[in-house]
Amino acid sequence: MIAVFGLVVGVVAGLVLQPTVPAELQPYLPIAVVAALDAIFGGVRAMLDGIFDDRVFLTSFLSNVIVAGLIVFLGDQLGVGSQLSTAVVVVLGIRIFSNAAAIRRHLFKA
Amino acid sequence: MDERPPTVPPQDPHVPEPDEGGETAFAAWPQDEIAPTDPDEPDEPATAPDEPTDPARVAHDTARDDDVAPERTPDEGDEAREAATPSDEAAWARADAAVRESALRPVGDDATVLGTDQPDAPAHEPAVAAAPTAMDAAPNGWLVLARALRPRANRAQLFAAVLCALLGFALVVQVRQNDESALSGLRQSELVRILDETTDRGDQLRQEVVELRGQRDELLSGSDRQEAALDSLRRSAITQGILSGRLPAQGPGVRVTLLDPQGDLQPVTMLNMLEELRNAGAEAIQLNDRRVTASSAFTGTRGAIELDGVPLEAPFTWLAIGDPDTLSIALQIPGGAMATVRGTGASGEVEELDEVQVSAVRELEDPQYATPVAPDGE
Repeated sequence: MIAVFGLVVGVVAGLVLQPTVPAELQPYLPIAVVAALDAIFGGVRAMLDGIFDDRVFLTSFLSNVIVAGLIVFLGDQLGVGSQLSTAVVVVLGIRIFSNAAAIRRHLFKA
Repeated sequence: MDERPPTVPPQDPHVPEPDEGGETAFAAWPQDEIAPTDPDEPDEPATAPDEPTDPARVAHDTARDDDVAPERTPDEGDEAREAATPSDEAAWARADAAVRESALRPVGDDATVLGTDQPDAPAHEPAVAAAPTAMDAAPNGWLVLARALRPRANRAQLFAAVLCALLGFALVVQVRQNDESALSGLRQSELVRILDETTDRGDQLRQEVVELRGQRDELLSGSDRQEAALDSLRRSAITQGILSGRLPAQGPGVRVTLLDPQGDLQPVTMLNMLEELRNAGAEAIQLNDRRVTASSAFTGTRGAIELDGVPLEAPFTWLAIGDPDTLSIALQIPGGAMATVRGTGASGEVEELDEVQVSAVRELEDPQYATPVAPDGE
């Protein structure tokens, strides 16, 4: 419940503050968001599995975001930034789907 | 065997023991967690040397068949109990998680899930023992969810809340950013590509503009030429219509009235008068109610004059459009047309008028033999 509340607070804060993303961060923010989504889904699955742990959640959330950003940054430096972003998004997407499938099995037994 | 069942419920998901969680982590991220689990594995064969040779174990590893598992339950559980070091506690937790997962697997085994879990295989080995009990204790997902959603101010909930807030914030910011300017988020290479495309498109459009403008000019000048040609044709048609007697005409001129009570006038006299009028520059001539044109002819005899085969009745009234002074003087010069008329015994007078209406028209027949000669150069 607190997590949902936190999500709502974050959304409201984003809507109210209307910050502008610094130009240097613009390529990384969408990737970071997808990575964070992956972490959230993983956390929910772990919770349903009964092995949720806040420390791991925090670490994986941050490391997911940072690693995804680093990969894209590296790709930008190598001149394959857009391709690597696509790759990261694909991988994270697959993980989100598999986690969602596990969550679905937990909740619906199917 | 006896000890195992009691140990499972405390490890039930809703109340993870603090020390367990640290290592066990998420089954969702097997890649992250394999490394720490591997060191545990070598210990197990030491306490359970029969493992590698157990055919049931092999079957389970390959097929992940839960039905095989119960046979092995006793020794596995005991062994794990005996080696109750902290790291083994963690292994147990993993085992439980894995078993819970495998307990659910028969319902629907996605390729994706199998792919995700494959690296987990080593962690499953100690779990085989707990399969039956874990199956019984498999929690209802909704219950777990509801319990997790219950507001509790513990560390886990706080972390989750903060991270979710972060995610929500970033999500909204990114969505807004995306809405605001699609271009500012693009990479340099993409921007260059878009610029190139736009420039190309602009060039194409500019070229098209030039072409279309040329076409328009062409059409305009064409229509101008056509208009001019039409105008001149219209003017020429009017001129020729008047000259040929096809159109009624009006303008300054003279009216000549000839009184011939005794019928003294001859056709030749009338012809003289017509020629005099023409010489003086008359442009449209009417005699009584008939138009006189280039093809008109006076026939008949004295006192019975015919114009183009139609008998004329006295008094004869000429209407001629032209310069009134010139016409009048031309007709009345000594020995001229009027003098001739008077010489025959008839009488007449010439009136100069500002406005003469030549209203009679004459139908023209198409030339039967003559055809136009094509102009030079065509």
